[in-house]
Amino acid sequence: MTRGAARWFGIIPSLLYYGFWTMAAFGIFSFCRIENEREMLAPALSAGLLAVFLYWQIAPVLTASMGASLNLQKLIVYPISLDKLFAVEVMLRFFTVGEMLLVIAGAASGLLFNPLFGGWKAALWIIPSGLVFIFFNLILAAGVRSLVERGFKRKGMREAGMLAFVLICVSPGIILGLKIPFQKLTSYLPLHGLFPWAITAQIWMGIPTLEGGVAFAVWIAVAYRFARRQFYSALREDPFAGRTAIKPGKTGAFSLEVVFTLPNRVLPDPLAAMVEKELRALSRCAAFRLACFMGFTFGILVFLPQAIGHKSKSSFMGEHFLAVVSIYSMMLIGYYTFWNAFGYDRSAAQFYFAAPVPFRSVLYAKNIVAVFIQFIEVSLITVVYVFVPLSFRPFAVAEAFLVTAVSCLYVFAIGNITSVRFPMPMDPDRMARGASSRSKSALLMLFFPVAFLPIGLAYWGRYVFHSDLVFFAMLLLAGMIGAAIYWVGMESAVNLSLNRREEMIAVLSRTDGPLSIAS
Amino acid sequence: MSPAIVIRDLRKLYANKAAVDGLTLEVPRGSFFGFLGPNGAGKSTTIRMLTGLAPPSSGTIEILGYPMPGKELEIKRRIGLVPDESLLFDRLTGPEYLEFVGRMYSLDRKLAKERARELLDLFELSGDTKQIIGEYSKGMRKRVAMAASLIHSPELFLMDEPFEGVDAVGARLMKDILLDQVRKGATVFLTSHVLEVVERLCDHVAIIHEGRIIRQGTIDELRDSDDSLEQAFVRIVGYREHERLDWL
Repeated sequence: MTRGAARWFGIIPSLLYYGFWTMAAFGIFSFCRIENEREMLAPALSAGLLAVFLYWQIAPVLTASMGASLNLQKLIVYPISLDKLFAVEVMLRFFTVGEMLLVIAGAASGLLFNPLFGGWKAALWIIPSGLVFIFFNLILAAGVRSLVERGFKRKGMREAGMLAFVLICVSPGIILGLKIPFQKLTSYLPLHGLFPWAITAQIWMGIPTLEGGVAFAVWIAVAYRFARRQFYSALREDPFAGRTAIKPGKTGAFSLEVVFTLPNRVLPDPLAAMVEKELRALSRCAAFRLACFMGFTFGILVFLPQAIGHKSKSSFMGEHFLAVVSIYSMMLIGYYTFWNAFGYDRSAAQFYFAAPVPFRSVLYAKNIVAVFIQFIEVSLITVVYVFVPLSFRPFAVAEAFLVTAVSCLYVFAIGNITSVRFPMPMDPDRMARGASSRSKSALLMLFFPVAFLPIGLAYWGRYVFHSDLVFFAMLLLAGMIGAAIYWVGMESAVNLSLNRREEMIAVLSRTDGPLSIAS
Repeated sequence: MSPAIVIRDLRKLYANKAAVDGLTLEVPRGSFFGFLGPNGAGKSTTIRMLTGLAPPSSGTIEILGYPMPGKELEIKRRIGLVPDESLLFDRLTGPEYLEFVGRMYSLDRKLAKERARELLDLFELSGDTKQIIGEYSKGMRKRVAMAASLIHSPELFLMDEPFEGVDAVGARLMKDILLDQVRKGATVFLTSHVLEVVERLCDHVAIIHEGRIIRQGTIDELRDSDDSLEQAFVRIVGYREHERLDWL
């Protein structure tokens, strides 16, 4: 893939993402334009602005937990005033949630087109109050990010933040699954009173109050003071202070040493040595641990409401919950275990070319570790599956493991090649991969359907012939073809490694610039 | 016995620009060989080609009697490497890394563990065995890299700036160990910008400039009429009076 093609390819996810939000903004515009009942519009506007506020403030939690935020601390060595850096930070909050600007613009322009509010004359109060609401969110988000970022330096906080974020993300699905009426739901929310979103909604409805204006001014002053204080504290903090040093060893009563040394009992050296090294190194990467944690929780939280919501026997999700969540977990941790298997090794990957081992053995070791971790994920998902209110079928457990095993053959066949052809250095402390990997991520979006096609065909066979026998026969066939494809993929990856070792090492040895993305 | 390294007309092109341009060199066995040159002269590229990290564009390499490429695994088993870029896995501890390297070089796990412990003691790194390499200082990283290069008792050491960032005590220790290895018959091929170190340690020196060897011989031959190797180096490579900036 040429650089130009890669750049265009990388735009696709952004187009899809912002396309979705543009559609959402248009939907909001249409609603605000035609709704003519103030009693309906007022709480809806307040609820919508509350949602915008929450999104705006939660976004920094996600970006900080993934490490996707610019590290302005590296700029303090230059003669730039802290006030200017604070302004940069506030501007960054503006650009990181452009989708919310689309939503606000959709709502505001819908109101301007609504005859209920006097047409364009309403722009006199809708636009300024909208801008004030945006400003309030910007400065508060800057403070929240600084606070969260400092908090995430403490052990376990990043994982806790990510879990909170996941729970918030999946809560709409759960609420929808519970079928709670909208009116009942809004009665629990703070949609009235002197909250910024409620005041803005009131002004937009054309009923501003003095106390509302004063309250908003107080909100802004408090947010500004909070944000500056947090930002300066984060900026002046010693980057290493409070950071928990990684101390390998026993974790509680259970010693991970047992797991690390397990390969020595079944594999010969140097394969066992490489597998052991990989397990040790991965277990000490905060970002990888987080990905593993997400791997088995995210799928359960996303798909469980759907599985429980459709209790009928014919529900695909109800029947195949375990297999679906297992495959989903593979997609989540795949970038770290097989699509970009040398990412965490960074410049040390050159050791594999300098050491007296065939490169094929290195890839085998990486694949063994990926399978091992994937099967731990499936086992954890199975444990949860036993306790969720779905009918437990041992058959489903065997199916999930088999489907995962066969899928591994295909994804490794492609993953071994992508690991050598498109390597990307990764920071073990952050999940964010940076904009440069966007085109590669988009490419992976194409690979996944290809890799999972044989599994899809096996399910299709079961659906058409209503036969588990057909399903397993097709799965067996997929496994045999997968083994052949894996072998071909391995040979291609090994040849690529010989021809591209220099480029691979050069890319993996890249370090952060003066203004890196960092946690 | 064949020389430790024989290089004939070695070339390495990057986008049609030669980083190494027809290099021919012979390193005798049991020698302490200094490979010198100004920045960007092609020293690191040469070492990368010798270790198999970069394929040559043309020319031949023979290491310890084996052709490269062709018998890479045989060669790699016999060399100890301290490159410019780190080979260290940051998420392993010092003992874990050394044991891992030992096992990669076909040492039995128990023996690798034992040697790792001894090397850590020798390099004064056994203080905090639970500390991961990512948290090591630059000097400690060099020490552990040096220890790793020794664990399998190689016949040839390829070292790119091994003393860079190492304190005086550490450098002294590393020099003593290397001299000891040479006395036992090993060959050391190193690059360094610290010419005093080269002068004190090396018996043979080659100077590379713009990808070509411009002078080689013993230290005495290179020094010729100059007082020190540094003076000789500057004379050979050429020193241009720098332009004075008005504001500087």
